[in-house]
Amino acid sequence: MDGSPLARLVIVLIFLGLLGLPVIALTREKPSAPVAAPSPEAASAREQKVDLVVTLSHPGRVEIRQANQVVAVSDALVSVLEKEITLPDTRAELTVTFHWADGVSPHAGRVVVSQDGETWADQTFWGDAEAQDVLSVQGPKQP
Amino acid sequence: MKLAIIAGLLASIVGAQAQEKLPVVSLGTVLTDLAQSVGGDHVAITSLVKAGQDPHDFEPTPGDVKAVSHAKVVLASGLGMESYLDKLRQAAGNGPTFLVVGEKVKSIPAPEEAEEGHEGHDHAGHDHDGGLDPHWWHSIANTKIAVRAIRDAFIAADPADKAVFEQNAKRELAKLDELAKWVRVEIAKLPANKRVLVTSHDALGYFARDYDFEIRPVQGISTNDQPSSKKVRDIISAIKQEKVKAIFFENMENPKVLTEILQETGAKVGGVLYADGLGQKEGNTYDSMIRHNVTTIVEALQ
Repeated sequence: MDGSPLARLVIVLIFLGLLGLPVIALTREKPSAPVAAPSPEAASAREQKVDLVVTLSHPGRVEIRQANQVVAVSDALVSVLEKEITLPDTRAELTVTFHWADGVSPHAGRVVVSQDGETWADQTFWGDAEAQDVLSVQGPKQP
Repeated sequence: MKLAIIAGLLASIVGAQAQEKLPVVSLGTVLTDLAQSVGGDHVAITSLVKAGQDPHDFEPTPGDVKAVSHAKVVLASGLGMESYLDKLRQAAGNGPTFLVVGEKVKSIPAPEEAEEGHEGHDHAGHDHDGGLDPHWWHSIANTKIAVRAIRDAFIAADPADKAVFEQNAKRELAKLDELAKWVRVEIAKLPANKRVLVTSHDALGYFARDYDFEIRPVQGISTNDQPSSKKVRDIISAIKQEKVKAIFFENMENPKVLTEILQETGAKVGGVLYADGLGQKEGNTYDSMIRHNVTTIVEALQ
């Protein structure tokens, strides 16, 4: 091969550099697409206002929690508790706690969650002085 | 006089037979606990896998095979948890009845990671049976099925004690209903977006199914294998994106990777979970194991 050694070295380096480009492109860590955190607007769009109706067999106290936050509570002994509550989504879990102090046994408490007249969840819980369980709200029935 | 002595001897022989306990061998710590609850004083259980022992590493000794051959009932988890089960069955001969509980429960597919990462469906030492997850006891509904199956196996082997087994099983099922209610109430404290479990060993698939959790296993931390740097980067990225607060471990055999993940993400150690069986002190019964796991998870993710 004719020409100066320096020119040959430059040509070889350029050649090697060109060969290396695809390797660099293949092995370079691609920046992962940023995952957008759900915006407050999107979160509130999923929120659902629903009607909660709790009926007790005997007057007692009721507390309803969602994700460990109180969403409905009776201040005194009640037979019926009605309240509009907000769920984070169409599906949610409500922790229901009843307290009775009248010595009667067994007691029952019924919890109904509905929206625009359509029932999303309806369950009766039984207990003596206390009853605690989870009501699973599944949202509107699929057609 | 002679007649009275003979009658007395016969009565003592019959009495001894009536008090003879049903010999049972268990191949899993959860099964041992359930069998003890159902069998009570009427069964003599030999637990080949001890509390705190990794069932994936267990291999029966010749002495264990002898115990199995003398048993009337052998309890196995199944779904590939006991890779030696077929050989043990052959060695035991026709004597014992094998109850493979995994064949009765509602199973789920084995974690994808294990299927991809280990040829021949081998995952941390055990073979996944047809790609099914063998850790069925993390679903209380499955455990209730196991209790009923154990009850029926005991009654078939020892019909004379049917009433005892039925009564004990009924009591155990009621306790499991109470436990299930307690778990529901505890888990309900966590909103849906916090139900992400980053664990060192993907054994909580049934728990995740029952309570709407997403599992992100960190393969490699609980084993001697080093996870690839890409794998660790992916885990760190996922933990950051999902704002996971805590990571749970079965044990910590790879603190280097753990430290890297914790430093990069700011997540904390959520605690140690009992995944493959009962513990030696805390979590030494099924009830306490479930309560420990649920309390650890809820407190860390709240």
